[in-house]
Amino acid sequence: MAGGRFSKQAFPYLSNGKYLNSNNSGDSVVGGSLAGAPFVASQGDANLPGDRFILSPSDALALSNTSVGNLYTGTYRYVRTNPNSTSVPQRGRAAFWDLAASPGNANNVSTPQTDMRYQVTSDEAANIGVALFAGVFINYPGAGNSWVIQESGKCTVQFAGNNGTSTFGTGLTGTPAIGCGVYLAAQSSANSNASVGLFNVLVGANYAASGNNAATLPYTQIDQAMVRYVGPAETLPSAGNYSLVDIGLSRTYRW
Amino acid sequence: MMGGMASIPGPPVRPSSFDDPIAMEKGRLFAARAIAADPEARKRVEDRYGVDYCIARYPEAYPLHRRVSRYFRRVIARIKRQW
Repeated sequence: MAGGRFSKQAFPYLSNGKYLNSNNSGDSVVGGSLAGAPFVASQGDANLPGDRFILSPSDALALSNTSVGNLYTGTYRYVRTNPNSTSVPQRGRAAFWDLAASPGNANNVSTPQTDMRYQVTSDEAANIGVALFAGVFINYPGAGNSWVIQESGKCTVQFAGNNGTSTFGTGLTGTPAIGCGVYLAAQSSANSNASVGLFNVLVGANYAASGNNAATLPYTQIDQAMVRYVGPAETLPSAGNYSLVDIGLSRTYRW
Repeated sequence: MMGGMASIPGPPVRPSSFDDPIAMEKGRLFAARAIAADPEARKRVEDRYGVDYCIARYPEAYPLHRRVSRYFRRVIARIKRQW
């Protein structure tokens, strides 16, 4: 019971700011530095990658930097981000479990030491794309730093498309609606910051009219929909903008 | 045992399909520290949920209230004994 039980108290009050979703809040060392904490804390209070915690609605409200955005009830996890990713972790974008072999930071492979890093990346891997969805970045922690991502619950995500100011990815495939299914967009172009980790809607899309061969629809598209599904839209998705999605617990598979 | 929170004073926590008492307690303590350290966070939560709820759920963030409550509990207990 005691292992890490108090570990989540220290780090919001260090040089990284007092809220969970403040920008540039990542810990440059795993667990963060305890220097400057206003409360008595020991190194044993530090976070370890893989630590998870559940925020009630009032917990999330207390920990929100409202100038960045609101946090909502759900499950969160302390992870490390890949220091060598092409893109940088960005708020509202998906985080993926990092299977990169180099520089020896792989998850679920190799040694227990690499596995326990709980390392995620903002990049969409060339071989598996968006299959290993780990959660959503709640801020801009900085590549190589450790911080918290949201795994499930009511979550703010950014959708693909043009919001009138900037273009993100190639756009929404379907017609947004409250309650429609939300999917990982998988529209990354060379892992650019403008296109990685975005979200998409599919409902109402005309597959054949998009120039696709309808004969390939059943298996490939169904498989993609199942792999990329994250949850229903709680608010109306909007191209290029942030919106709320209820991410199901079934997406949190790594324990 | 509501969500494994029996040792924690305050309103019961709704049991969930994802019932991880340690993770829930971590989240609560995390928020308690934010409320204790940051007046803005404290006001935000108190305005929405009420002071009574905050004292009950985050007693660590209200140490004075805890001390005063403990004092009055002792006084009441003493009076009861004398009766």
